[in-house]
Amino acid sequence: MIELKNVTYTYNKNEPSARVALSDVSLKLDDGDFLGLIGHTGSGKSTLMQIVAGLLPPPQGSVSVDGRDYADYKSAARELRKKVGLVFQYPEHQLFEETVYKDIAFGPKNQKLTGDEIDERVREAARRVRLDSGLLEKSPFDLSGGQKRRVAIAGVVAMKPEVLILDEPTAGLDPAGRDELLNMLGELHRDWRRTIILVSHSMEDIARTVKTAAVMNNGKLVMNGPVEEIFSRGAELRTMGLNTPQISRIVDGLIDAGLPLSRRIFTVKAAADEIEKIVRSKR
Amino acid sequence: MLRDITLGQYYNTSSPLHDMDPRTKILGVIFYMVVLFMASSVWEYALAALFTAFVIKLSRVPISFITRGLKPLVMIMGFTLALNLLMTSTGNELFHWWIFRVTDDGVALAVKMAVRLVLLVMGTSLLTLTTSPIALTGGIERLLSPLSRIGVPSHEIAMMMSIALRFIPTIMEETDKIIKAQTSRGADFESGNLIQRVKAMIPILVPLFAGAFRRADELAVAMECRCYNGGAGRTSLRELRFRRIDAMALIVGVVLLAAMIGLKILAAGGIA
Repeated sequence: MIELKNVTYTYNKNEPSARVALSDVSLKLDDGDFLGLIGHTGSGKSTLMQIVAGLLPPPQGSVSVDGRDYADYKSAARELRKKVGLVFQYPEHQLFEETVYKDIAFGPKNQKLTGDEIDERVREAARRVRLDSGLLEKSPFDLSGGQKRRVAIAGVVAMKPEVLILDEPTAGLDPAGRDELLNMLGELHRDWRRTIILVSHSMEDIARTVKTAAVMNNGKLVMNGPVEEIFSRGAELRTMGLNTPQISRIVDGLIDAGLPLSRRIFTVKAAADEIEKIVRSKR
Repeated sequence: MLRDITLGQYYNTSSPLHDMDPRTKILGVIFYMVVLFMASSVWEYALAALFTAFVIKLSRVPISFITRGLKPLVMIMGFTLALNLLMTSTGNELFHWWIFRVTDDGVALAVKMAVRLVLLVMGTSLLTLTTSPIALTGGIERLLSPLSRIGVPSHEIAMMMSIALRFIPTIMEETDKIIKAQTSRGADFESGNLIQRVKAMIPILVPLFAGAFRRADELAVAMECRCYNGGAGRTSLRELRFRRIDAMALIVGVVLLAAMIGLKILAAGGIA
């Protein structure tokens, strides 16, 4: 369990270019949570996640890990780095090893695991991200963009972090690649029961992947709760440069046109099912 | 950590110095260095220091910004100071210590050299502080252009410089991100012996170079798409023009040089 209380973070403190990225954010992450983090570009999502991962200089505010309060962030950060694995945006730009296998093994090796354990972790991670085992001995620089992305994600998955954070993991992927990645995250959460945080500004991705979400705007955490509750506040979301999923807007239009649909439809599949029900009942 | 590097930093404000033609400033800096190295007597140094102070005041750049540029030079200055102090053998001995003889000439030389270095760094850093990288490379290009007749690729040199300057912040940002990403994967950059630490840099350097090549590739394609084909026939959005301020700077420069020579003649007359 990780808890942030009243965290404020300023970039370039004490300089003319100082910029407040987070102001007074409190967030509690329970073990096994599958949380979506939504927000416009520059809303502070990435900063918040880097603080959770223990990667930034100390912010103001307090942090507790597994019920233990840390007086200073520096000792908390050491603990956080052990627990949290962060997949950055465009993680494929961080590959460096000669082979895919070695690159995925980098994290587990740093965890001082034995050779057998490392091998097991690498193969499991590759399977998890649906990476063909034939690619393991190739150079990561010879792969396609989508494959590189999977290798990079596998590199963090192989460490089996207690909290896995993915910052915009679907950015730049084609629809099929996006679907596959989100399904993979769902499976990972189902099998591992560990905390996963999906950072995204795509309402569609959030709607179909997670049950609870938090919304950030201008460095503040403005909403936190079940996805349905958040998407029922469409007007508020729109003032923050966000929106409800496309399908919800279509459903809203259909309701206005007289179709007896529910206002709590956020995925294409749910909409299709509902509409099918209506069509069948009318026959 | 990386933000401390202030190479070619530009301080954006408006001042007579900012308004000047970059060519005037580049030539001015060369001129300034010549004058500084001509100085030998206390009065000549005082004149140079007074002029430096005047130009700094004129630039409206906070003095803290300029002194920050001196920090990396503390080591070099300490070294020169010690060397001059201990290795000068002429003049009257002040005191004796082990094999070293400290003389009054040595003290004078050490102080002069230190002052010269400080003035040199402060004066020249004003060039990049008051000139945007674009203007600076434009100025260099124009100053080098006579040399293009003998085959010096002046436009290409200027273009490479401006691209390099443009990408410094981008590469810094990228480095920061890669360091964080590898830290999150358990990489340790702070412990171990020298060989282990150098090895620990590989996960940073390989992606950094790969990224630099990728960017270079993309930039080349983008430039070709916009029909870039070198300097021939290129015009600039902002034409460089000598104005009254530049003429004034020239006059100030000539006066400074005349004053310096005047002081030298006076000193020579005094001895004779």
